[in-house]
Amino acid sequence: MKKLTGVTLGILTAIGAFVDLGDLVANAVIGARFGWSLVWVLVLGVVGISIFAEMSGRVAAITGSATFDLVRERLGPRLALGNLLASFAVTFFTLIAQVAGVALALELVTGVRYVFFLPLTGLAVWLVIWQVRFQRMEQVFGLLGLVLVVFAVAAWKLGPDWSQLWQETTRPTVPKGEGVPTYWYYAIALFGAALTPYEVFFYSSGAVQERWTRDDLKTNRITVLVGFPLGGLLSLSIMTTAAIVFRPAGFMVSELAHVAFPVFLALGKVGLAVVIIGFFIATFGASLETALSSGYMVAQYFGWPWRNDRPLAAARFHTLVSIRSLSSPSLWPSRLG
Amino acid sequence: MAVTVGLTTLDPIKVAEFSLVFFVVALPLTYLPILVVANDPSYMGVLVNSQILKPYGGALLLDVSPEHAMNLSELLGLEVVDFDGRKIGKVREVRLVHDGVRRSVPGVGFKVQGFIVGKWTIGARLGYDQTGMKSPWMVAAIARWFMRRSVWIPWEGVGNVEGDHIALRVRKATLGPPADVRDGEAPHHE
Repeated sequence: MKKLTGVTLGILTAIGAFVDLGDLVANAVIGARFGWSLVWVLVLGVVGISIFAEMSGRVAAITGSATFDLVRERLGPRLALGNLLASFAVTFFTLIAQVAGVALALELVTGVRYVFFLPLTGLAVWLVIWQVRFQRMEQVFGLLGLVLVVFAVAAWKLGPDWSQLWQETTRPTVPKGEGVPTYWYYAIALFGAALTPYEVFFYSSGAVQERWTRDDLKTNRITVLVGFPLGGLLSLSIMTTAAIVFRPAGFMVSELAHVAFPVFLALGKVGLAVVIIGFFIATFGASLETALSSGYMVAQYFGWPWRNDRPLAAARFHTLVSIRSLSSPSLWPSRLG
Repeated sequence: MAVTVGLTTLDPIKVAEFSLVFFVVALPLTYLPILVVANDPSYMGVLVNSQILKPYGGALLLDVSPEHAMNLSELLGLEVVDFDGRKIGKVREVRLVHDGVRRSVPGVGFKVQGFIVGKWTIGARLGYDQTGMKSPWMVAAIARWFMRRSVWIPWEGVGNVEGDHIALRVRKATLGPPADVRDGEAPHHE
């Protein structure tokens, strides 16, 4: 059972790395515009995050220190504060985007404008963090996140040209009609998304919260080797579906709904329903991950208690996370008009 | 920040992409410490399961084998029995000394100097018995009152650390109150 919870921690973390709102759309955009010529970046990203997540998990298991403990300890208060501000900003923007992503998924289901769902989403994220035990949360969202495998099924069904896929992956060139700077912009964005710092904050803090010890080092390795490559595979599948469906037509992907379209083509209404559920799970999971991560980094920097699921036992941590999750929807008022 | 985001009227997807700018700062500052610590044998090896005593106190733990390293917290609260088998009290406070060598790894280079045994914890923890420690006189007086029967046990006086108690190889009469022990000076004797 403990092994299972470890692996779901890896899957939930990997969702933030490869299939949160920004990634979902970015993967489809990349597939539609660049085909498979950026797959090498994805591979690099999977390898990179796997190496560092494994390390952060190992350090957490052996020393009981989460990543921001190390940052604070090793960089000293001033440099670590720089990291804290930058990382806090990253998670800030990512969180408000994810909350909107959840609302966008609901918009796809109901047809009601997503702005309507924003406050509810913020409230729901807060409630889950406040009420649900960390392990339960991680198991539920980690396992449900697996529904995104529907992209792999769709990609398979659409039948990519494997030789072309292999050719573009192994001998990447900038496609005609695309500028070199644009190519590199997406390369860096893809790599950056894979290695966003909040993932290791979340992963290592989760390991500490679950009280990993030396005995869990194997779990750590399995978790990393299952979670992140799976995330990478989902990324690749989204790219592939978009490359097959949108690239020949020269269609520009710009919305979440576009990302779901190839799956609808391949698997019909059932596929579409599963994708939308997948969007919901992925963005909600990423909301939890970013909201908690921002709490973890601040608490670890300042030395507040944070290991406890009970809000009273880690009052400052939970207050911060509550403010973050509840205020996240309020940042979109101008979209009302 | 909230207002800025509101005014830009960016759509969520743009915001998600925009956030990537900050990762440039955060990324090296996050992964470097992980890399350094994960590759630091003194950190990963020495502080395994916070076995503070293992390399330092461990060498001094007379009859305790290095395999049986202890946490400092395990030492606290143990009953102390002298050479004649008389109970002296419980370990209230453990004093560590640093070897003076500056290292990049915090928490390394300490060894156990000795501990304070007595009835109360409060007085010893304040550390007012140590030289040069300034203290409000009233608090100090209260601390002194709480510590009036406490004794200082130098690490050299420890014979054996057993499961639930510490056996000394000295007699109670040779032990003194915990005073002025900071610079490794011998404590006063009664």
